[in-house]
Amino acid sequence: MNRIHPLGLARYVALAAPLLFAAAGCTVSGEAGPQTGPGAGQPPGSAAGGSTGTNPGSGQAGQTGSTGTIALSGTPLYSRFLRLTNSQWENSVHDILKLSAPTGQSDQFLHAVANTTDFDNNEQVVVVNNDNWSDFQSAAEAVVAKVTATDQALKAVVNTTDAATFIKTFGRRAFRRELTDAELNTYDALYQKGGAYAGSQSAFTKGAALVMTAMLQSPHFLYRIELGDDGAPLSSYEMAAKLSLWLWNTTPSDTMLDAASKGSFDSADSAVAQAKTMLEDAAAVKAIREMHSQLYKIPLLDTITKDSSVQGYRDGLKVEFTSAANSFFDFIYGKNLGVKDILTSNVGFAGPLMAALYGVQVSGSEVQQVSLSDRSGWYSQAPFLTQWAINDAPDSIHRGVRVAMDTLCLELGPPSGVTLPPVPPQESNQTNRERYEGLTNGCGRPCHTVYINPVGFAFEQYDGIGRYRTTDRGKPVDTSGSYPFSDGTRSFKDSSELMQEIANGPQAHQCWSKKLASYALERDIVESERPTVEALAAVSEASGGSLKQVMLALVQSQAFRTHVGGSQ
Amino acid sequence: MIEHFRRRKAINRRAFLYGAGTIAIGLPFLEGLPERSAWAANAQPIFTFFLCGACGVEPKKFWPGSTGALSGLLSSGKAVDALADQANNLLIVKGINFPLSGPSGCGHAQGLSQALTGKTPTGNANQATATGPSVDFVISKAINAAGTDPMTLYAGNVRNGFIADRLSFDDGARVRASVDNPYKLYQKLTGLASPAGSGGGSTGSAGTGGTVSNPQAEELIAKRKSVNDTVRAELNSLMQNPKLSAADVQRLKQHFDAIRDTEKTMTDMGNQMATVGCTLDGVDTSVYQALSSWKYNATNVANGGIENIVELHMGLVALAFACDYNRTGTLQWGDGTDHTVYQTPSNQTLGNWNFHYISHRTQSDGAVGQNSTAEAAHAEIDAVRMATLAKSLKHFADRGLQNNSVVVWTNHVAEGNHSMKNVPFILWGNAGGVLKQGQYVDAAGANNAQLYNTIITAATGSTAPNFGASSGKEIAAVKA
Repeated sequence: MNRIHPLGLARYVALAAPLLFAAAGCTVSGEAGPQTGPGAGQPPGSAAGGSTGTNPGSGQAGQTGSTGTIALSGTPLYSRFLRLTNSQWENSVHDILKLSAPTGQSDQFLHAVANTTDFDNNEQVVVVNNDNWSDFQSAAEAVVAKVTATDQALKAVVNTTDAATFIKTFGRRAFRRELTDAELNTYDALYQKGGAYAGSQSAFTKGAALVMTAMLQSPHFLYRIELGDDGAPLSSYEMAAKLSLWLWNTTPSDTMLDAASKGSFDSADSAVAQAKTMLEDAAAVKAIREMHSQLYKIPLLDTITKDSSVQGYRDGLKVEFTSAANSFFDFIYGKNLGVKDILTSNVGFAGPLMAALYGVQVSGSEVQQVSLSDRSGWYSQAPFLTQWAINDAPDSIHRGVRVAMDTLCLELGPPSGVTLPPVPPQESNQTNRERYEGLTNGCGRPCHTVYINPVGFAFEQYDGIGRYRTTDRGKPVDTSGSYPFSDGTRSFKDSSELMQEIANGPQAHQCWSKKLASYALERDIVESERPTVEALAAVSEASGGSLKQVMLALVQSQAFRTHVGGSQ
Repeated sequence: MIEHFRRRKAINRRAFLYGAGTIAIGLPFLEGLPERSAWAANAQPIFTFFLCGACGVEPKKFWPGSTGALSGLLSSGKAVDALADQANNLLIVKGINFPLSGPSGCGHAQGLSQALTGKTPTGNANQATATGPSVDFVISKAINAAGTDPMTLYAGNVRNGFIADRLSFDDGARVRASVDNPYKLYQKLTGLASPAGSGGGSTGSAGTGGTVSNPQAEELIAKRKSVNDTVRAELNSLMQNPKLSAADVQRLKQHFDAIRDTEKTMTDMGNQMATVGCTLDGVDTSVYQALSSWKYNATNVANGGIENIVELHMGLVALAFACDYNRTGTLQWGDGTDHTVYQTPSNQTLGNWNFHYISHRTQSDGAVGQNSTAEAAHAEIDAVRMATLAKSLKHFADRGLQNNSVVVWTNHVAEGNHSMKNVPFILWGNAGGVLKQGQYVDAAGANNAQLYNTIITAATGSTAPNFGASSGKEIAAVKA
């Protein structure tokens, strides 16, 4: 069927974005080159001088964009079949089989490809193929064997000996909706077959075993499916599944399915009301922790290596770093805080090794909440600062790159066709900043001096393992700079002011909102969705705007509540 | 070479039943086995496997001293000396460039994305990706049944590092996920190989005194058939929905094609050919079974432990080929920016830098320096990796695969400075008599796609492949 999808043009335009930047000579989001001509020194896509201009990616004569300049250059498939992630499979099986502990089966599943999309739950990397089909098959057989080992064991799953009741009850849990009559008949036939097999269990248990084994391999279980018309609201069951798998990382509970059967997820208001309750559950804390873990590259903390000559560094810090990072993002979420607080909070977490770096006292060996009065937000905490450092010296470039990409949503590309020169040794009379300024003054200068270095240098007051310092090689550290945000260029004297400036502007709020939408919708976000992103960002940017409020705003949005179909 | 093969009527079924009854690893090992249907029944199978290491080599202490016959060349203090025992089956090739021979910025993902595609990649940094399928996928598509993908394996210091999977690409140039735990391939092969000591082949004992009967396994096969039929019907029904996009139909079709009926595939395989080496001889089953609950993380494979994972994988790949389980595959040996800490003498002097820093000769992920101790450490790591490769290749030699296989070892960059000119290539096995053996040759600046043309022809019978950026050319210097 040939038809032009309403979003098609925007998608093609989005695809073209990097080329447009390259053509404009911009070194950001595409091939590098000297940045000359109109717009030099401004974020990609913004006009010189800045607050209005053409969007990155719009690129069409006559099209005008908003002030936002975060990159929205994805290529979504808009799939109607979102396969459960490995952890969603694990949690869902645990819940529908009423198990007392995780099965552990998913530990051995094929992993989704990481780092090619914003998150590893993206539709493009979560599929069923030759390699993982057998994962699902063997895992289904293994877990069902356990819960049907005896007739008594099966009662814990569904306490009935009536086949029709079992199929209907278990089927609703597995498929996250009522089964159709045809499906009931199909699974009844399977039940009859199963009952005839050998084994010491009753015919009922053996029949139920085959039914469960099949349902756990069914596409109706393995995928969250949206089959409504393009642009139509999701059904109540579809919405329940979408919310549950996002916010709780598991299949809807029986209670949720009961509510769905009564249409309790039909309207925007009712869906938001349900979501509001769900956000307060401990499962939501874990689910959002995973999003932040991927967004802020927390797993890489485990790969930190330092020269043994670095004073004060211990390998045990890596465990504390990971725990402290997770605790921080749990705190932000749990205390109804928001993006501003991620960037500016004076609350941190530390165990005894980290406490020594911070110069604070903790009791015991566990990571605990501490006050970090001289630090502002995640980026001034030791995990980030130690990760992006070379031994005891700040890696100013990567600190700047990470903030620019993860919090300001710039797409930075390295210089084309050059071998990066070595970071020169830091001379005895030279600060780290001076060293990097010398390094980046040549090739790559336009990007470095405008988009990367100012942010990286703002953290010069923290050394390579996150300790506060006021001097470097005997000279006062220079943390000042200015930055061309989407709403204009602003100056700052250090990382605290920089974080405050970022928190006060729209760009970081748009960026986090985009990331949230990408995680929740399990796909890339594109230029045509900029209004949605900006609407979410407005909630985040408002006084008291919390992560939860943005999440609820997303639930209320058309992007979340309706299905957008892919092209046929 | 044909004497290495014999008809194996129904041996796979017997081995399957043997595995079902006697190997104490529970139900998960009873995997569906892949179909075999895409090649002529009497054709000589040619097996191909591609390994890609990380971070390049230290060239001054890697290559043999001069080109020519390898006899006598592998004892001059170079890393490749570790391969001396395999010299007669080796072809070492210098002078091969990648299509994009000068990376833009961080070239690791770019290197990985063209190492087996032979085509200039797109994108930068860890977002760089391929612009075409990799050679393993092309071969697999030609000679494996639909839905049977190449073996795609991984051994690195971290599972999802800065650059994770980036070696094998499908025909849409989409990167394919890899299997990190050797236990998974072991699971699949356990039910296929004959027990150790049986000698394999159609006359081999199934290990328990001749007649094998396992009603439990027979019943499982029947149950799987019932389940598969149900799932296939559901997928079929969904694919008929007119609202589905082309991408979704493709997604469900991929799922549909992946489903295998154990009974049918065992029967198919019983009619195929496999080497007599399809036994568990040389496979320490306890080591693999100990990995059944292993969870990949940096701690588990610290301090060069990835070398162990490589060898465990490779031991099974050799078995997989001997059993004709799959005819091609890849192994990504290291995350793109490999942060493995190899505790070699020079690295201990440095203070235990990670390999990426060593390859850069400075403690930086982004820049390249000139630290001479790091250079020495890189050479030592090359020697460690070549020793691992030698142990891995021995598994293939032990199964008599040298005349019907080629195992290719390369790297995603040539050196630590990210150059992609003169990328190392070491080939083991003559691929059915196609490749030179016991030689060190110079490809004189040809690209890797041209090498793959020769291998594709050997593996698939395709007479004029035009793979990647090869322009249809081959490298004469490598051909027998």
